[in-house]
Formats: sequence, structure tokens, C-alpha cells
Amino acid sequence: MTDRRSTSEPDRELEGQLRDHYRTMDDGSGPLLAARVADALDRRPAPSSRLGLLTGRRAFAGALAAMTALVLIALSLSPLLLGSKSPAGPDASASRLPNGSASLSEVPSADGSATPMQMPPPDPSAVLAGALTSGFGPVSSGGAWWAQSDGFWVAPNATHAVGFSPWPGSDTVPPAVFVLDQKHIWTVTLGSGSLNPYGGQGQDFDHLKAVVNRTTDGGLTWQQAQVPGDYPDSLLTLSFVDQLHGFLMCSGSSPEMTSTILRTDNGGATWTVVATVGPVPPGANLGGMFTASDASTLWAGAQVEAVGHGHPLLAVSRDAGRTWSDVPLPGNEGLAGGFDVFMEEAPVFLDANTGFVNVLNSRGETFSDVFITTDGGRTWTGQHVPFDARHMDFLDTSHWLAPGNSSVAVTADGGKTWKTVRDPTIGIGAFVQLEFLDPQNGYGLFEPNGERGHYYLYQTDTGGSDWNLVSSAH
Amino acid sequence: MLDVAAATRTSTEQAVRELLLAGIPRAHRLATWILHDSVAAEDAVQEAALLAWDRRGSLREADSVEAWFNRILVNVSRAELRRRARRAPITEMEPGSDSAPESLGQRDELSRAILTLTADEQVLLALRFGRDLTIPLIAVTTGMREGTVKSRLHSALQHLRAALDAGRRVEESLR
Repeated sequence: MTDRRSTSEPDRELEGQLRDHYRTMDDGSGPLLAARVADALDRRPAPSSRLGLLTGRRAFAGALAAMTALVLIALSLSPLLLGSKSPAGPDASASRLPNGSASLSEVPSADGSATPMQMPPPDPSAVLAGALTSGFGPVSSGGAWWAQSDGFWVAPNATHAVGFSPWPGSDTVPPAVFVLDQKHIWTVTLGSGSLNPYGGQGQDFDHLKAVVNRTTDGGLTWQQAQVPGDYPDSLLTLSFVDQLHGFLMCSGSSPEMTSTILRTDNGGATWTVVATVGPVPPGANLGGMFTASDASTLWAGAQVEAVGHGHPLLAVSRDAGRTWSDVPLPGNEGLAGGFDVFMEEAPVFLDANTGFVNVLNSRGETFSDVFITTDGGRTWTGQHVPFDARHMDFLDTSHWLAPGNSSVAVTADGGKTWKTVRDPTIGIGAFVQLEFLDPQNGYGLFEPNGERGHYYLYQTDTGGSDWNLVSSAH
Repeated sequence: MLDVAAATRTSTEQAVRELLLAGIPRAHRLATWILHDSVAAEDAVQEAALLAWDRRGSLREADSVEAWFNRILVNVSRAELRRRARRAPITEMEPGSDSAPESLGQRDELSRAILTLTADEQVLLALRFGRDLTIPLIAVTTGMREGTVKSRLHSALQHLRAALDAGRRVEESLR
């Protein structure tokens, strides 16, 4: 066990008992089972369902493997122009990247110079999308190609920029990507010198050197900048307020660690440390559910990894990250985040004044408490939501949407009343994330039952009563 | 690309099939560790194998078959644990009770304590101490972030210890 918290003598004894326990549980029936499985595979008919059709399309597109999630972030408010209702696109060849992934593009050079990507003709009806895992190739959507660079998929000249968190629906990982608009995107990746970045052995052994990748042309070209410092076992989250000014939170994920806030004032070309916070209360380190609501106001929420770590449930800085204080959320004052009470997404601000914090409470049945501010976070009011409403999409103070099982929960009165909207043709599964442009038009990332890690991107113009397939990824 | 993919599909499928079948005994051990039930583990492995076969087009490299299949298997097993939890609370099981599964491999205090944990905790313990996977590999297999894996393993051990202590107190009170 690599976690330092579990290396005491009683822990080692228990771990030894567990190893012995599992060792005694093999009844030797594996070989017989293999023969049965072989027989079952031979009798398995060729896939003919919708899933099978999409599998074929994925193979044609170059195959997506180990892709735990699409990343899309809805930012554009221009009218929906999606014309195609099914995946389609031209053929292309994938090239191998040094990091093992495949792409239509070339990798940005280490010195930060940009390398033009070889792109098919852009399609104005495309959405912008991305992914943060390795081992995938080019994919088509809505008739346009998405090219990939350093784990991020882009469709240049997209009319819509839509983003999904990595690992949606599982645990609470802030996306190490920020999409300001269709042209300006930043991602964080591991830089040279990284070694066992999440090894849990501390800074003497583990090293996480961050690199920020940036594009100002919708992914046609990328440049890199090394982030100063070493942040092993930290969650890294980006937030930009405009094309030049942004912040990077490196949130330590164990109690004795610190959290470091860095800033850029030149679009990510260089980064400087603003402050290092923690590790002990009252200056406990900060959670990784991080966002900037304006150039000086930053928010840090506690994610589920904060268990036992003493992250304030929500902290704010009003001096661009130099000093931080707890935010009193009604009913949760002074509460540290953890397994029971936590956030699965960063606070959402529609503008500098109007913001939302979705706090999940899993003491018993999981429910959500949404806290709303209309004065830049100086005061908050709570709205109880009597179900697990993680990954909620806030359109304004009245209209919210929550992903559900083959359905979408919708409120038009700020969470007081809800109705369920369902498309009976979509099958059994769950929406794991929604990005709506208005109450009628939006996108949903759908995960069929039993297909964990296999996602379908749908689009609706009927508020979720009718969904049209855009693309899929696995 | 399309032509190349079509031309190589048959040989790739054959390679995937062989690798999948070669890993079935290891997969069965893993499912048994998670489910504490050899028969249920067989069902899980078969279901996972069929799912994997249907999705073989999504596999990029043949040498990653085992990790890819493990992930599917863990998800199938986790779903089974959750189905069990919905059907009958594990905490209702008592030592020697008729309600305990007959196929329980080792009906001892550690088994009973493990069965009181959440599905995710049982999966993590099996991957870490049964399969001896590293934290990064567990993260890949479960789709969790490494920090989450560490936190939850730590929590699982705490809960396991608490369940063992509670079981011992019950036994002492009955003496």
C-alpha cells in the first residue's frame, strides 16, 4: 500500500490477512470456465444493435480505446447549427504520437513553438470536444473531424464549444482543461521530470511537473509552457477569466500537503506562483473544485478526495489567490469537505455576480444542496434538491437541468419543483453530463447500463424529450 | 484507414479472442475475490467476456486486452455487488446464518467483515490485496482517479477494521 496513512503495524497486519484471505479463494475452476466462454463467443451473433453499428463506426474512425470520457464545454451562445443526426465523416490516417496516443496532428514542440496540424476542411456545424486520456485516435462528428492534441479533441471553427469533465459520473476530478471560447483552450499535461506523479510517497519520491498547453486558434496550433514547481499528488485545475488572465490551482490531496495557486497574465505563456496555502488548519490547503469568477475572485471547493484532509467546503480569495477565507454556506458553516459532504463540480459563475455551488450530501440518501449568489458570493441562499443532482447544468437562476437515468430532471423555478423529461427511445442508461445553451437546446453525454466508460453524445432541441445521436466514444 | 482496418480485422479479432480466453482463469480469480462467490464469479466472467467481445472494435492494441477486459469485468462485478445490496442487506447476515450464501468461500470473520463494505470498497480491496495491482493500475481498472483510489482504500481498511471489531464484540457478548 503506497498510502502513508496506512503503513502502521496494525495496518500491515490487516493487509497481510487480506492477502492470505484472497490467496485461499481460488477453486481452480478457471480453465473449465475458459472453455465455456470460448463456446459462448463462438455462438455469439454479430452485433446488430445500435451499439454494434457504432462499434463499426468507431473501428472505421481509427478506434477509441481507454477513453474514459469525452470532454466538451458549452460556451457558445450562437444558434444551433447541427445538421447531421448521426456520426459520419471522411476517412483519415492516424499518426503515432510519442506519448502513445494517435492524432491527425503533430505534437507541439518542447520549446513551445507551434506546429500546424494537418486538418480536413472545417465544418461550421461541428461541436468542439476533447478528451483527457491516452490511447485514442481521430473521430468524426456531425460531418467534421475532431483532431486531437495532447489528449484534447478539437473541431476548428466550431459553432459550439461543449465540454465534459473527464471520468464523468465516477469520482470528482476537475477537468485539467479550460475552454474560454471556440478559439482559446488550455490543457494541463505532465511535463518532463514527472515521475510517479500520483505515487503517494511524498515529494522526496514523487514528481509532477505540469505543462500548460494553449491554443488561440481552436486547436489548429498549440504551444506549451512549463509551470514552475513540483506538485505530486495534486489535483490541477485551470480557470481563465479572459484570453490573457488565468489561474492554475494545484490542490494537494493529502492532509500534510499544501495547495498552490499560480497565475498568468499573458494567456498562459508564463506562470508565476501567487501563494501556497496550508497544510494545517486554519490555513488548511484548498480543494480542487476551482474556478475564477473575475480577475481577482477565486473559489476553491472540496472534492471527495478531501476526506480527512480538512479542505474547507468552500473557500474564496478576493485578492487573486493571495489570501483565502471560508465561505459560510447556510447550514454548512465551517464544514470541511469529505466523503459525506462534497462537490463534484467547481462553483459555476454565469457572470461575476451570479453563481452556483452544488454540494452533495451522502449522509443517508444522497441529495444536493444548491447555493445561489447574485452578489458575487457575498451572500448565499440554499435550495434543497431532494435527489442526487450531481453535474447539474445551470442556465440562469431559474432554469437548471440535472442528468438522470435515461432522463433529465428539469426545473424552471430555481429548484423548487422538478419534472422528469424522457426520450423513451434512448435506452437504459444514464446521462452523466448535460450542457444546454437554453432550456430547449443542448447536449447530453449518455452512458448505457453495463457500458461504463462508453459514452454517447446526444443533442436535443426539445428540452430532452427527443435526443439525436452526435457521436460516441469508448 | 478503412481498407487497412478491414484487412486486418480478422487477424486482430483472432488475437483478441485468444488473449481474452487465456486470461479467463485470472479473471475468474479476480471476480471471485470481488464477489466472494465462485459461481457468481463464473457468471460475471461470462457476461464480461460477451460484453468485451461485442465491443472488440473499440480495442486499440491487442496487448492491452487484459487491462481492458479487467475493467469490464470489474464493472460487471461491481454491478452485481450493488444488485445484491439492493436485494438483501449484507448486514443482516449472521455467523452461521442460513441466509449466508452457501458458496461463500471462506466463512470466517474476515469474509463477513468484507461483505459489510460498500461495493466499491470490496472491489478496491480485491484489486489491491488479491490481484496486487498498483494504485495507478487500480485507477485505470476502476476509472477512478489515483488520489481517489488511495483515499478509498484507506477508508475501506478503516471500515474493515471497524467491522472486524464490531464482529468480535458481538461474539464476546455471546460467550
